[in-house]
Parts: sequence; structure tokens; C-alpha cells
Amino acid sequence: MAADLVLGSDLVQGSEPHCKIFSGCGFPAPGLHSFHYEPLWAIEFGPFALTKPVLLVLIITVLIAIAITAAFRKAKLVPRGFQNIVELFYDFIRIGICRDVIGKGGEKWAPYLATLFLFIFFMNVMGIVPGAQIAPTSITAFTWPFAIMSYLIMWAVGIKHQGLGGYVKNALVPPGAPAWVLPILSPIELLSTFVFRPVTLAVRLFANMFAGHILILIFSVAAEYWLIPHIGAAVAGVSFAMVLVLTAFEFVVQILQAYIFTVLTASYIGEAMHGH
Amino acid sequence: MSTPDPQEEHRAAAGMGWTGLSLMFSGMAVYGGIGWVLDKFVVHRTLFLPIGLVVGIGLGIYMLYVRLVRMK
Repeated sequence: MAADLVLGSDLVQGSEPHCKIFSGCGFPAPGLHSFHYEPLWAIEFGPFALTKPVLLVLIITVLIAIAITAAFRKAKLVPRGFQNIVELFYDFIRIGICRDVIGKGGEKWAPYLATLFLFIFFMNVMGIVPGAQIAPTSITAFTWPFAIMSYLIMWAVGIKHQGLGGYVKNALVPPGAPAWVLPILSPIELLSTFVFRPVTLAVRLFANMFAGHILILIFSVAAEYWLIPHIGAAVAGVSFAMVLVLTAFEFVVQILQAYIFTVLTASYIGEAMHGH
Repeated sequence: MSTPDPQEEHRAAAGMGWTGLSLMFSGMAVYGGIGWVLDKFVVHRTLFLPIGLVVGIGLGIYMLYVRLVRMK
């Protein structure tokens, strides 16, 4: 159980008999089962269970809340230290995303988008933090609520600013197409806006984190699999070097995916407010 | 429309690839769906489903092209 908490179910399976090459066990390839976590401490409430990713999300939530609140406890007009860093980040969201992407009326979305960015970013980063080593966003159940929230907000803003009929009518018109081809293209545009936007939001984030985790797992498991005396150790070393390279690359992808999710949400909100 | 340029560029840059993919899927879904309905209830052979799918993909690509051309 303690091993489960630290290593994750896949590595626990592989490390029980210490599966090495040429010992007959076959490469213990990572897969979907690597993302399956047993409930910790047998705490289960019907379909809900306290698993490691859920625990990570709870810890992140509390940490972010405490950190941001603490940064502004004795807020100074000229910020110093941690308050300065948080204000820099908030300005990045407020100016770089809200003002540039949404435009007029965008700055009131800065709190939500800043929280969204921070939350998704820290959930992503848990994938490379030692001890945690699983990004909750690499499990599809955690990305869909984000996508659904962005989708509902898009609808609410669209209805509020353009009315239900006006919003759907404006969404029917694909940008740039000549008028005569509109009847043919409108169903495609409608489906693309109202069905595939939330789907791609959720799947994009999930797929990037899932793939990154699988890559790191493959090379880590291979490094252990090949750790036999002499030649095997060389291969294991190369494999482990790949783990380091991929971890660095994965960090870039994690920041980027959090940024992309936030920018796209802002873009959809802006389009709902102002039309194409 | 009087939208400023950096705003349009930001909107265009983020996720254009995924927009293209979703436009193609939507095209496939709509026109493949129309073709499938035609096949099932009118023609009773597999004819319009593949035609609809291909037409849908083509239209999706056209919409992506048109969108990019408009955004310079």
C-alpha cells in the first residue's frame, strides 16, 4: 500500500518479481492499467473513492488557495517578493490573455482564467514531481469537467450578449466563406462549434498528458528491465538518459497545454461576446 | 469589423490544427450522416455513405482554408 502510494500501480506490478530481460517474464509494458489506482486506505463512498490522483488534486487545491491568499495578506501598493511574482503572473493573464484575446470586457474573466491556468498547470506538473509522478489531467475523468465548464461558460456568455437566437445564428456563419455556400457549410460549422469544441478541449489536454506519461513510463521500465550486468547496464543507462530528456520536454508540454487550454477558453468566451 | 489585429492573431494561432481536425470530423459527421440516411431509407446499398464522408472531409478542409485566408 505504501509502495502503491509512491510508485503507482504499474511499477508496483513490475517490481514485485524484479522482471529483467532474459529472465523469461517479457517486457512489462505500461498501458491503460498504469493509470488505474486502487483506493487508498479503503476509503470508498459508493462510486467515489479516495485514490492517489484525487488526493493530489485536493492537495493542489489547498496549496494554491493558501499560497495566493498568503501572498496578499499584507498587500503593499508596490509589491515585493511573492506578491510581486503572483502579480506578474496575474498581469500576464489579464493583459496577455484577457485583453489581447477577448478584447473589450475581457478583464473581468481574469480571475477565472488565472485560476484555470494555475490549476491545470499544477495538475500537469504533478506528472514529473517525484513522489507524485502522475498528472491527474492524464486521467480522462479530470479533463472533462474543465472542458464542460468552459463550454457552459461559452453558452452563458453567448446567450447573455447575443441572445439565444442571435448567438446560434452568428455561430452558423463560418468566417470568410462566400454567402452562396452558407447552407452547405452551416451544419458543419454548427457541429464544429457546439459539439467538437468541448470534446477537443478535453481530449487535447488528456491526450498530451497521457502520451507524456506513457513515454516516461516506457523508458523508466526499460531502464529497470535492462539492468543486468555488463552490456545491459549500458542500455539501461541510455534509457535512463532518455527519461531525463523526456522529463524536461514533458515540463514544456505541461506549461504549453495549460496555456493553450486557457487561451482557447478565452477565445471561445471572446467569440461568444463579440461574434466572429 | 473593428477588431484589433493582435486579437485576431491570437485567436487564429491557438489551436488552428485542432480546429482543422474538428472541422473535418464535423464535415464527415454531417455529410456522412446524410449519406447514411439516404443509403438506409432510399437507395438500400452502400453508395452515399462513402461519398458523404469524402465530401464532408473536403468541405471541412475548404472551411479551414477559407478561415486561414481571411486571417491573412
